Amino acid sequence: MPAALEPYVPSPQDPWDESKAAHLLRRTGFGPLPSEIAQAVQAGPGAAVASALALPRNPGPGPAFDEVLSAEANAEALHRSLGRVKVKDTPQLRAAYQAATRAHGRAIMDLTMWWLDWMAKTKAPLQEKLTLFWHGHFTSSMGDVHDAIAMYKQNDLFRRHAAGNFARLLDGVARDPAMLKYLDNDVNRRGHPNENWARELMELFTMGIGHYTENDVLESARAWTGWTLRGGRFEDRRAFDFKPRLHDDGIKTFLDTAGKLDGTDIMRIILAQPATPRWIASKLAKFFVSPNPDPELVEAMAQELASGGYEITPVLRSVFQSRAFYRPEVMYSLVKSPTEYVVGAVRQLGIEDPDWRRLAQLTEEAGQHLFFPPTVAGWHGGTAWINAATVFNRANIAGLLVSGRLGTPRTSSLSMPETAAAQLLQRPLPPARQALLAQAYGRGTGQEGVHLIMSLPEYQVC
Amino acid sequence: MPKMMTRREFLTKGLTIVAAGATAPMFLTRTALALNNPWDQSLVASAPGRPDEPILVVVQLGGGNDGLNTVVPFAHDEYYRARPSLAVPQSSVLRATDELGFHPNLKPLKALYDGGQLAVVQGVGYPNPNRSHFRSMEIWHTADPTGVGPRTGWLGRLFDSECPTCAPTTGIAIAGAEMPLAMQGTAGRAVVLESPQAFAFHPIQGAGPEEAEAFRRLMQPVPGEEPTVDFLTHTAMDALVASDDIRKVAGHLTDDGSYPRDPFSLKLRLVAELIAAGAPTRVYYVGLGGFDTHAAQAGRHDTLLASLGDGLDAFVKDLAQKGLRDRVLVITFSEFGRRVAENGSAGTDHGAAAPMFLIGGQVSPGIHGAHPSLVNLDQGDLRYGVDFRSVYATVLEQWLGVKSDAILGGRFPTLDVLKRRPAAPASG
Repeated sequence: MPAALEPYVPSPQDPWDESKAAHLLRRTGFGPLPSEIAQAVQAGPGAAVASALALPRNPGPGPAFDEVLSAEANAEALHRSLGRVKVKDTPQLRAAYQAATRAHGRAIMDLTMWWLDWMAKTKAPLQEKLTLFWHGHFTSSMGDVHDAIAMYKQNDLFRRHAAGNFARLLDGVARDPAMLKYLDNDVNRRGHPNENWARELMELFTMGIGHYTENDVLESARAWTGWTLRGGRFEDRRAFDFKPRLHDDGIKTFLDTAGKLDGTDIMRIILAQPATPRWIASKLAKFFVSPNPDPELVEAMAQELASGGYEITPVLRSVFQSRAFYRPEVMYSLVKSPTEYVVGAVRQLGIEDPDWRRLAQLTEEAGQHLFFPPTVAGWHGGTAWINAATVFNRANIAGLLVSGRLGTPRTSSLSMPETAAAQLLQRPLPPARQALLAQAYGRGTGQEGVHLIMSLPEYQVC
Repeated sequence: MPKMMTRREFLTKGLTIVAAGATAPMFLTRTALALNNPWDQSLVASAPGRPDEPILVVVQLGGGNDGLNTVVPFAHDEYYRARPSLAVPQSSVLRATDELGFHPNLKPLKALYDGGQLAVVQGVGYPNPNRSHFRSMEIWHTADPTGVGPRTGWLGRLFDSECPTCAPTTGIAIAGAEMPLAMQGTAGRAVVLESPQAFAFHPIQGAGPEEAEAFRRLMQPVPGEEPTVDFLTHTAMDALVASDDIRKVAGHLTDDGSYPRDPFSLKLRLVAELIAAGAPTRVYYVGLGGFDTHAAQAGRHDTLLASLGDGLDAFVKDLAQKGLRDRVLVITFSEFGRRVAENGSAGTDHGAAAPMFLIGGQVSPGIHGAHPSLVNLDQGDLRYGVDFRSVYATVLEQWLGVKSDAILGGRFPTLDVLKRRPAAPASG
């Protein structure tokens, strides 16, 4: 084991305590509860990490898309009955297609609400946290994909491979209908290469800029020709197909390898580049460890990824069990994303059935529109979440939650300032802030105090 | 490099210079260097008699505005041939010259043109135009078509170089939660807000102003805190100052019916009120979206141009009434124009060069530059004649009075579109 990933071993001087257990649960989940922290303390570091990493193979059913499917079926049936007509010249048919489009618009909100709810309720929160991580890594936006079912398929792909094998996940992404549409590989064909996917695959998804040439992009784009969708509408646009007649099967030279390369070869070559495990390790470290992770830690993670055949679970286990993970400068160094903020607050306030529709809108206003990442590079994260407007957004979301306007909070255990701060923040506060909170509690029911705790800078970090 | 300072670096230095630095908002922990900075409007406010500094309002037309149906080349048969269903008929064009005229829904802009308050710069674009919304918008925001420079905006770099310690509202974007890239810099001297109402701490139901005061006091930085928490407290303090500034103004907003009631116009109204109230803001950023007219363009584009024209009309009249006409320059841009030929669904696809408007009491009115050829096209699109960075350079040097080279990453010739020409200050 390299020094940077040296395991943490509890000792009387450095015991496994609530502070460390809470840190692990904040990073691997959303807003841990006192009972969960107590359980992790009792389990010890090894078992607590193992428990966090125990992800179900079959996470359960997603949302139903009944309305979308029936609107699509209507349009299909009508189109068949009308024979060969142009949609734009046939108002009735145009209306049927528009109805399907509107159904997708409603369905993406339903999907967002379903996911937020699942994040709050799942017994394997790390699976959802990783799904969120991959959503920001292998970005696709509903704004370009226009198909809620395809967006769910991609979301489910991330969930199934959340801490699995990166090479297999990459292979799934290369065939993912939402991605094919989002980065235009569905129109990448022989003689008319579209380099969008080929470029982002290297620049953002695997290697990072600086490890390939413009010519590699062009050659890779040729290799990816013919990796497309089965057809032009509805279910056919949600199915991958390789079309040999659209594929350029000539010789390409990519990263010093020449041959009749296709997409599978490109992925194999990319995965053999040292830059790739480094890039993935660096992104994982920034998401789970620290905004400026120790380069030696990243290098050790990259080596473990490469030597372990791109298995993700062992790397995460090493990180969560490492001494480095529990260093003081690592704790509280990450800024919660709006999603982490909202889901964590809902959990900690014990709101069983919150108004997820409103919360989804509020999360978007706070800067994270799930299924609509702002650009192909995803969300910038870290301190970029915080600006003058979002400082208020977060505090005002907390106000709505605490006052019960978005569901009924169970705040009885938060009725004393000391216990509330300990439960919500899992850390001591500077005396000046403690005194201000005590005054706020003195003014009334305690709701004001809870609201202020959730507005504190200490509550924005994890 | 300009005198760039990150928030962290500044804080560290500020702490060594200003004893009270740890408990003051970022912009008050100023160094001696920042004093006497003409950019620092928070000082101007307390220095009566100082000349009013010029203000820039950037209007972004999102989605790719069809330049050819905005400023119409009605004397060219090629235009009518390329657009059998979408061309603006000669009879309805508001003629500006014997070659060009405005779309009929831009009557207010034609009136500004006639009144000497509107300049058109034709054929604005950049080399190797990118036809992706995202990429082309990024190019306009960063002023960097190569994409190799820092991912900061041209206005953000303006704040960084001129005013890293100015008030947090030196730039205000009236937009959603995400700051436009154009305004993003290292020092973070701009805020983004959707509405003044949301841009404030709201006490919980039943709690009173005591809670807002408690929030304010809880945001006082505590020495020795970890960097992320420290960043958060300073951002929150900036936010509270900005919120106070903005709410002072918004509290007085009354709807006198002088603006149309669409969101674009209401954003402009807020801008006018903020300027009139003496907000320490030098750059405002407002957007109007929906210009991506691939299909059934006619009705939608007409409506959008009406919003644009009517909103700007109300804004300019309001500024004139407030005595601010000569202090404000409005510029409009879009990430690209649209293809010359209409497509098969009565719309237009992504194109390249397009006109920009400059509006204000200090513009050199008229139509500047030659109209791009409708025959000699680049993949069906207009070729640019003016690099957009020349427009930026003109605005930076001749309107805002700063050197543009470092901000734009190169020297771009300025245009003859403004009357006012303060000399750029000596570098340093």
